Order: sequence, then C-alpha cells, then structure tokens
Amino acid sequence: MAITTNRSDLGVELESFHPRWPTRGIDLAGVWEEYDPIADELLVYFGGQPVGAVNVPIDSPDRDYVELLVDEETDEVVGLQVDALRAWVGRERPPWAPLADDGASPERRREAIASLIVEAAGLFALHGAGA
Amino acid sequence: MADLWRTRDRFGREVVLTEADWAHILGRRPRMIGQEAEVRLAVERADRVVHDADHADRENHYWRVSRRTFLKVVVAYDAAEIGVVITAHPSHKPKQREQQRWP
Repeated sequence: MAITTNRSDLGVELESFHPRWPTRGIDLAGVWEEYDPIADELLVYFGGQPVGAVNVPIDSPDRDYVELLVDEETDEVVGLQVDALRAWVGRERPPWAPLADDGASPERRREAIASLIVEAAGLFALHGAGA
Repeated sequence: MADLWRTRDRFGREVVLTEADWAHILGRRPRMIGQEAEVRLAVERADRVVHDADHADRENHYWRVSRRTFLKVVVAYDAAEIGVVITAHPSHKPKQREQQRWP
C-alpha cells in the first residue's frame, strides 16, 4: 500500500494508534530477524517475513529504543525494532547482544529474541504506545 | 555504487540515496516499495528535523504523510556534511529523546 501523500487534511492534530499485542502465541522458530550493522538496527517480524508496518514508539521515557511495528489497517503488533543495538542497547541489555553478533548460534539468537519479546511486551503493557 | 537521487535538505546539505542502499531498505521494509520519491521529498521538505537519539552523526527528517503517520528518513552526515540515507520508514512520531533541530 502506498503512503498517502495528500497533505490537504494534515492541519489536524496527530491521530492515535491503538496497538494490540498479538493474541495468538508467537512461534520463536518462525520469527524473522535481521540486524543491519550500518543502521545499527534490529528488525523482528513475528510472522516469518517482513511485512508492511508503521513504527510506533513505546511511550517509555528512558527505554524508547524498542519500537512496535504495527499493521496500519488492524493496529496489530506484527514485529519489533530495536535501535542502537550495538551502540549501547546490547550493553544495557546483555541478553540481546547476540542479535548484533553474526557468530552467535541459532540457539543464542532464539534466547535473545525470546528475552526481547518478553521485555517489549512488558514495556508496552506498562507504558502503552501510539498516543 | 549508482545514485538513485541526490538532493538538498532543509539546511542546504547534499543528501544521497544509492540504489544499493534503497534495495537493502526494501528488503527489510516492504511498506516502502515505490516510495523513493517520497523519501526525497521528506528530506527536502521535512516538517521536523531532529538529532538522532543514539548516533551523533545522524539526523532524522520527519515529513507528515497522513493523519497519524510521518515518513522518517535517517541520514548520516560525514565531516564534509554530505548526507547518506541510512534507512527510511513510516513512523507514528519522533522519539522522546530526539532533540528538535528544525523548525
């Protein structure tokens, strides 16, 4: 779907997203994840491949390095983005460090993804997102 | 590495998007397919430019494209103030830690 570029109605206040955490379980073995060392950015898609999504920051004042990837049509959370993974988040969150390491084993990566998803779900439940 | 486009940002600095970088972005973000012209417009006409929260050499250009979405373009600038597009994606709003540079 193309991004809307009709800007005639943009004088209004920014409207909210109402993200919904997926109700069905997330199959860790089927999660797509890729770290981009240039952008220093990790993308995680729960459904096994990249899909169209909008980044919605979690409204945490000091932990906004995790963003929700939200389906624009349904507001369902379809993935996660972590910024500055190598710059500092990996040090702040050692369980996630393997995700920026090409040499990490699949088992370590899966453990790291599990840790990330659990913490992101907790931050989202505590602080919300999309307001 | 061929350029997809070169343009100027709000401060008159040159910014480039290469074909290779664009292909890399599309592989991770299918939502951006067909949006290379919008990425250029976002750099040229950003509604808001902020310092990146985590990388000192980067600035993020936000261009509002719908009632609840900006197009965010992350640009890294070298010492000569030449900018390279690092990534681009739709975003609900700037992060709380991103400090506004423009307007």
